[in-house]
Amino acid sequence: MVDNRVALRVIVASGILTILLHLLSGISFAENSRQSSIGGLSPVEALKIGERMYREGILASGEPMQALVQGDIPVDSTMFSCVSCHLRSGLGSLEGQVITYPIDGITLYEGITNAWNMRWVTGSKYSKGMTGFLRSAYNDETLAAAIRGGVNPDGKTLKYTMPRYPLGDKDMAILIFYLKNLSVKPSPGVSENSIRYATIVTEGVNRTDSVFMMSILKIMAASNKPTRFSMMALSTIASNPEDSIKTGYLNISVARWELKGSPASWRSQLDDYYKKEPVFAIVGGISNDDWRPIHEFCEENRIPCLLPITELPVISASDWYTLYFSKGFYQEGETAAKYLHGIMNIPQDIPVIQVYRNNRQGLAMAKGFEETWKGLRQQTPDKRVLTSDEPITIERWKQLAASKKQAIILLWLDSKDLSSIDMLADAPDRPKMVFLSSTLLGKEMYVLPQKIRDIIYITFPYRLPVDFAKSEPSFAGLIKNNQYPAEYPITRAKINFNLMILNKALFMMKGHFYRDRLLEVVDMMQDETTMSLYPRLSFGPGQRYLSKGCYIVKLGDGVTPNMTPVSGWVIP
Amino acid sequence: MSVRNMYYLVAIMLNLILCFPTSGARGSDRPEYTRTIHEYAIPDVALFNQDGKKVQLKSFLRPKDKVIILDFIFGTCTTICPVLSANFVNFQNKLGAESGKVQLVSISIDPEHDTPKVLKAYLKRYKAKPGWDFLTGSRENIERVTNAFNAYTSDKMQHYPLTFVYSPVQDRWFRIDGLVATSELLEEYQKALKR
Repeated sequence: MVDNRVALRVIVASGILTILLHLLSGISFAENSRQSSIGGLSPVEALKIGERMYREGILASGEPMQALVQGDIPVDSTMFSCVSCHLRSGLGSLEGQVITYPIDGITLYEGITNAWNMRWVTGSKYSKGMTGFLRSAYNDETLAAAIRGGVNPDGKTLKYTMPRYPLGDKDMAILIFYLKNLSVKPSPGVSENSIRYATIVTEGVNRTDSVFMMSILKIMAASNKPTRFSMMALSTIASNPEDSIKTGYLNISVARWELKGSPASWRSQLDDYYKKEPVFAIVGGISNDDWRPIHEFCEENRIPCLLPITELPVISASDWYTLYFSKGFYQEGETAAKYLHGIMNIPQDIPVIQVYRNNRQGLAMAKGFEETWKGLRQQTPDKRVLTSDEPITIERWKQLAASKKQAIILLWLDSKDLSSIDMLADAPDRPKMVFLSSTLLGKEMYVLPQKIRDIIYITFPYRLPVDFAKSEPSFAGLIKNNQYPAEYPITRAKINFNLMILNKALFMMKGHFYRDRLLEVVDMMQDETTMSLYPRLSFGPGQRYLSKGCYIVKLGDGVTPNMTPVSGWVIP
Repeated sequence: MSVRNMYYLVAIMLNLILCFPTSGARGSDRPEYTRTIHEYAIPDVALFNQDGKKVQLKSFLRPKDKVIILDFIFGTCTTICPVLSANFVNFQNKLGAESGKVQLVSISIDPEHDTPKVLKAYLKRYKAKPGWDFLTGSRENIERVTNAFNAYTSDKMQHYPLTFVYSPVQDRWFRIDGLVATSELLEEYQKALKR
């Protein structure tokens, strides 16, 4: 919460904190100047060990934290730890009907009123009429009693969902020191009444798209008032006028970070931009190249990156800071494998060949397919890897068809490579199935030769055109014509959605502008099934790829062919 | 704000007001839950377990000689599911050799994310023993199941703690609303063995 209390603490702590900012962006010393030793550790060490206890449930000794939940259920850190419910920011969560209260360094050490509670949970302005205390302020002793025995400062028993941790004095001191410093200072890029974002554009992206992205972000920034979405939200459940200012009337600025040259050179450019002016988060961004350097920059500096437009994200089950629309090309490869595996009448020993160029797109598709295929206990597929400038001649098509009769061929190639694909249809031993990617083909997908369409299967990662007609009017209104996806501005739709999510998140943060909190509130959002390009964007704690599946479609006849799904929404 | 969200908000506010004296701090010594008895019509849908093997749910949930204990969870759930799952594994440990008389079943309410691979990793994380299966499937089938158990919520983040115990002797389900201790789950198991 950006208020005077925080500002005071920040002033007290600012000297020591400078050293730690780059290591622990969400954490700062609030009142450590008098504490030279915490459980025998220096403040820096204590924060590090404390974070490990909080997030991973590992004690200073390296042993897992043990606890008792619901009165008689022993749990250890392999199952869950403090962060599971209270989240990284310590600002708590609301899951179904279970409320997990904040345990950040500010809230713990102040008394909580019933009115505060109501406002915290619901944001309701009607909380002002409520009276009474929910609990008194904790001090170090009462906090230790709560963690060990589940008793609050007023002697009341905490819910049994809160585990009881029998920590020794040293571990307790470390954990309390960590909590005392958790989310007490606004994140970099945030001041009393402003938030600074950046967006990223790399060389080679469509200029129209990048101009559109900047223009829409600038409108948001320059207006210096609630956007349409937050205005709507504020009019219904705003906490009070003060919160309205915090959520809606912030000065927002967006820097354009333009990255030039090859991805290998991006990191130093990013470091320079960040050093010059830290930002709270990266919003969107567009690149045709590998997003990895930006992903790693955000991960190391603990900067949220919301929904960049890339088909080449980093595939990770544990990284935290970048939220993607999907796994991009990799996901289309995954889907093809899962779909093929599910077809009942395909012989087990049928040859499968992947054909792709030795570039990032081809490699990502092929990797997605192969990893999934092997995970389904299938044999490693054959591959034909083309160099970046190797032409695909008619002879080459014939060789491909003749190499394995009645094969399944996955052509992870773009439209330029497929100009003579009809040679495959003419081959004596034509393939049984040919898989293509709609993302690589773009609008050229619709002009594939008629005579090969019967064996063509296409991965299609968006909502089907026919389903757009059933969409809510608000979304249908965004569609400019009936040529989706050939002409529909996919990039623009993604940018619009990104802005919607950002505004919603800003409101849900209720003034708690911490980087981890931004991602936490996004994680708590409900699945989106109507307002995006995708059939379903699925949120969830730690889930970093919102769209999880893909369709497999076939093309009909004629010059304006219909697109017909041959599968449901395939989840790899 | 959508009508759905408004209903949700009102529900939360009512919940807060009604349980305010014990919200966040409670005076009782034991967790509380409610228990009701039902006959559920299980849909004949195919789901998949953590090994990717197909499970016909209707027959799977009606064994002649086993107690079924079932819940609805998801792999990245932060608050409710970890407690339910820790209880499942503690229950298995407490039963010891007798655990073969019980089939534990968790059904994912986040089928887009919870692939068999995720389910398998989840069970491993909780040190599940044989006899605890984690099922997933198409969203349509999952919703048929949650509707059948009167456990449907429009979004996974709105779910609430539920455990169902099937008595093969009585051919009925005990529905437990709320989070329970292992001792209480063992009591329900014993009741499920009696006529």
